[in-house]
Amino acid sequence: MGSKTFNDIIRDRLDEVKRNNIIAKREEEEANKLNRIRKPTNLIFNFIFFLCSLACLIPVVFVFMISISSEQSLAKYGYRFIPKVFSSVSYRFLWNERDVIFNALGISTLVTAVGTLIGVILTTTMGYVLSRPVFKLKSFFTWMVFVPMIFNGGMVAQYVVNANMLKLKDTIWVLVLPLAVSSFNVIISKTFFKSTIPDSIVESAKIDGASQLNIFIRIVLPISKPVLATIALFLTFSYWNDWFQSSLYITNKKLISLQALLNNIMRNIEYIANNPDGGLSLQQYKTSMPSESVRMAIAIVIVVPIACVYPFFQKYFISGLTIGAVKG
Amino acid sequence: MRRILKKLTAVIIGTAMICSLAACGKSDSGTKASTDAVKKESSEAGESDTTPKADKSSDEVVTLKWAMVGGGMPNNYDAWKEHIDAYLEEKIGVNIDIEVVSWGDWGNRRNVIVNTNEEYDILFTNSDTFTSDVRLGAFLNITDMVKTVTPELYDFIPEYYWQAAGVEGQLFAVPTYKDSSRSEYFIWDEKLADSYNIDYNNMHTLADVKDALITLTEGEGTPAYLLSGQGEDGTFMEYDQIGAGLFPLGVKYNDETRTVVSVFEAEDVMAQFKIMHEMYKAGVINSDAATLPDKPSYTAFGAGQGWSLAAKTTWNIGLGVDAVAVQWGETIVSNDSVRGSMNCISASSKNPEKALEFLQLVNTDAYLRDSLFYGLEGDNWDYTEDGKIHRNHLDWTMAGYTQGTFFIVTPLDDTEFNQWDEVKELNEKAKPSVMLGFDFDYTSLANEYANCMEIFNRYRSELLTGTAEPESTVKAMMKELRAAGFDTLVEEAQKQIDETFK
Amino acid sequence: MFRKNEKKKIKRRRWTRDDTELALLGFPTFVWYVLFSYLPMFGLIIAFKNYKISAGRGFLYGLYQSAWVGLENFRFFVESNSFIMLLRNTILYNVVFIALGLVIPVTLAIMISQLYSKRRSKVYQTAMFFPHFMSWVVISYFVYAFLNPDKGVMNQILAYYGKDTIMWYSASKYWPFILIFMQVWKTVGYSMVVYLASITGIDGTLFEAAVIDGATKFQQARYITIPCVKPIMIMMFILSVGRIFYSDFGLFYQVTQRVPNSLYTTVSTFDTYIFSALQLNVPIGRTAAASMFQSVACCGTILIANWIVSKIDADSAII
Repeated sequence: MGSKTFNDIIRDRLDEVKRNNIIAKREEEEANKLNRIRKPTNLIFNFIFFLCSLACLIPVVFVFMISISSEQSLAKYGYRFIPKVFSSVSYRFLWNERDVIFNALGISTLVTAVGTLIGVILTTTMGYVLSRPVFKLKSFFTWMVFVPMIFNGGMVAQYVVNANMLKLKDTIWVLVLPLAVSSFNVIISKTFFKSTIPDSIVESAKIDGASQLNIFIRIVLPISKPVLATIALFLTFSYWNDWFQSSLYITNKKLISLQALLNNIMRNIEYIANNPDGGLSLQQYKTSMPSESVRMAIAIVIVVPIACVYPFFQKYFISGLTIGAVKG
Repeated sequence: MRRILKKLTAVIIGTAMICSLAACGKSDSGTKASTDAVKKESSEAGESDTTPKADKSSDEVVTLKWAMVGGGMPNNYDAWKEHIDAYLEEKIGVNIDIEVVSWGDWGNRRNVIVNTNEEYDILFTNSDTFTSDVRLGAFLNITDMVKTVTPELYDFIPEYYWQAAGVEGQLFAVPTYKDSSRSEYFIWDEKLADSYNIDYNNMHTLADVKDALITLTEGEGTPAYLLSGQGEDGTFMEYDQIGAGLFPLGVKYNDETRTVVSVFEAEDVMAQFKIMHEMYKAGVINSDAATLPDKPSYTAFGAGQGWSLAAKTTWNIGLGVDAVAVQWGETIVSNDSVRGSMNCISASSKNPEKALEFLQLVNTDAYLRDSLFYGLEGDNWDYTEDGKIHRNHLDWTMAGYTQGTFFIVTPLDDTEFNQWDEVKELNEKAKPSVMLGFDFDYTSLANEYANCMEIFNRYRSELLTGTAEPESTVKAMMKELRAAGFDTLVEEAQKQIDETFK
Repeated sequence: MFRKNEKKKIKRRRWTRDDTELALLGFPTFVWYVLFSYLPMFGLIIAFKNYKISAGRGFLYGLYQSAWVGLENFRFFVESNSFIMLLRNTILYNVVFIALGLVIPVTLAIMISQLYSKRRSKVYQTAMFFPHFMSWVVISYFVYAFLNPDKGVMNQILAYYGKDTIMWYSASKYWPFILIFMQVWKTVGYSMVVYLASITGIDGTLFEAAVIDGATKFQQARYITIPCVKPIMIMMFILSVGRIFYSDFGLFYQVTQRVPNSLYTTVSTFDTYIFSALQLNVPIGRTAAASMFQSVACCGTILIANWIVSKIDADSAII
């Protein structure tokens, strides 16, 4: 045989897999045509999903409608799908604050991007390691991942560790690191790897002298797009929606994330409403609080960016299909 | 093998924990009080070995850290800090570092600051958390210090108000001397009330206003008196909650015998509830009051704590119309009225005397006070020729009521009168509650207390908004309360009161 | 019998190069766990102590010096008025959530994978994912707009048809249904995506073979799809059971408008109870004890669930 390098072997193997998959897909599509549900069923299904989607979207539309209602019409007519009196006051209010909002948007995006990247790496490596059938430290790691799902030290202890011991207070890392790994995600990735990566291919790569790291990067990851997308999606949401870390650790206004900033306003209003003991002095601040339509506008601003991002991730679920499961 | 691995795990975790304990135990500096003294509750009187070491030489400028609640950090904070630091250095040789935590974050942040004993010198506190934090050992006992180090401050605030800032006779906080006595007011939409010829200036009780409100409601076709789930706590304002915060349990403020009673069963309170219920039935109060999270901004009639001139400065803005306020009931000074705003010095502060001096300056120096209240001179505000203040823009997020007295704040140039004068008068004429300075220590009855609180919180909205029929509801509530140990609480409270006020 | 021997063999295996590599691969995550999960675990001690601050010293020193009170903080929690009611509520709601959370998303995932148009399927998925983006606070506004006794949409509809309006926030009998509906509404899109990911990974040849054998769609679903999705379903089941003493705070607190009186016995859970306790500035020892109770109880249930599953189908157990 020619002197094939190790890389060549991997490449050939992968090409073979890809070719097999494309053949499989074509065959599948043909078979699928024979295997489709009947047309009426398809219609019924479509109808059901149409209703479900409507049910899921109506609240967002409704909230949007409230955000463009004038405050007076809200007070007089209550909540309505079609506002009696339109007003863009709330969005103008937010536009006036746009410096702050854009800064927060930048922080949110940065934190989400970095956090998701780090999180995916940490999660999938551990998931892969746990999915190996034969590994000395497997039960150790399994327990290590499992225990924090049940026990956690509590807010105070975590604060002491993050702020005092690790000195992360008021830095961007305190927004990124503590949320990077969740045992739930690790277990999802472990289950995925276990059920989709056949041992045979790993074994054969090992026989050819590949290190686990190589196997992981070159073989496992490329065919794991679904799980990568899923974990990335989960992480993106938890980072994007997080405000608790900010509220506890961040004082520097430049480091506030979007959700924290906007959620802040909502909770400020609650605090003032629920603290009549503060007396008149505290209640004075209530008059400067944003009105209901502004609160709704805030909710829209929080929701819309992430709603736009999701369709991109969806693509990977589908593209995962073209690589798909390895045959035989 | 698995067992060994598990042991290994346990060892690693155990080591990590011990290391962290050791590391953090050492990394904090601080004087060494004997461990016994530390274990003892530092709320006990006279534990002077928790008083930190003497101040450094007066040449060194110390930086004090102050955590307060407000609208978040001001945008021009850095510039403001530079400016004020220069001023403070000259005066008392300190620099100030303020953390303004926004309202919504305050609960968590304060909890964490206090419980993890984070480094701070001054902390804003109010009645929600004051006594429990004192019992935790968070604050410095300043009873002696305030008299020796800052006698000016001590004289500035009248005796009753200091009493309220104490626990078991020891002072732990500097009260914010503002509208620290409680006066309730009926607030009317002036023009509307006039159009119905309502003689509001002579109506000082709920019974007085009831008929007028019914007229108003019928005339306007909407409820005149809009409430939220918080209800109207002015109905039992004459009962001091003795630091427990459990509304059904209290002592009437002018009861010399200091008898602990079941507040809602008292005749005068029940009478008030009945009037509320009648108004509810007549449609004067909105039908969804008990479930509303917060009040709408406009209501034709309302009640609230404040001062009459607030109708011209604050309430009218909130309502969006001209308002007039008439006093309801007496002006009372009690623990709760004072504790709406206080500043406490950390028990671990490295510069307690400087901190106290700083607080004194806040309460006596008009320039410092104005800077804290309004913002950066030249940016947020300027002095006018006749000694008032002109506000250039309202973008200042610190909350004036958390910092210090109102009475040295320079008035704004947009009003003729000085509303703080009225407030001061009210304070001076205030009737002291007989329970000033007393806090019911219910730590031994924590279960009963918590259970009673939870029962009360369930009935609260419907009772205090007049939604439910008072007699039967109070009866049902008291039955549950008694089953949960209410009478035990009453007994214990009475015992403590009798001992304290022997 | 064979299995026992095999297991013994594995135990005596020597450390191989493979093991080193895997260990290194997992090392960064290991560090993460030590720093962010295990280090803070000293906080578990708080539940057993009566924490008092030691002036001038750090938190840990103060904690170290504070007195041990054994199980007294737990007693406080268990002996409270409402413990039984909270237990019942938390568990019953979770049982329903778990059951529905398995059946509905899987069914929908199978259905949506059968649609002719993949493009439409994507659109539906995106739409159904929306509720997941919204925080409970925002959702509670929306629910309020529906159920407001004066101006809410529901009562407007009822009035239109001549029926009596309902004081929704005082009528406790509707709330279990309302809460269950809201929970399903919020999570169905999310769960469906997870199951769909798994379904799309199923080998197409299996279906081909089934078609050749003349299987109907139902049979295909029953004998191919579901067994392939089973690992994930079981994993979700075990993980949900592991949270059975916890509840989604936002759902029970925000949507009900902070648990008014009439709804108290129907919608209160451990988490809303602990939150009220925190509001009253209850000492951190007590809240730590309540949290630990939840943790320990969940630990028990998850181990039991895992054990049961491992007896039925050993590969699926997650531990």
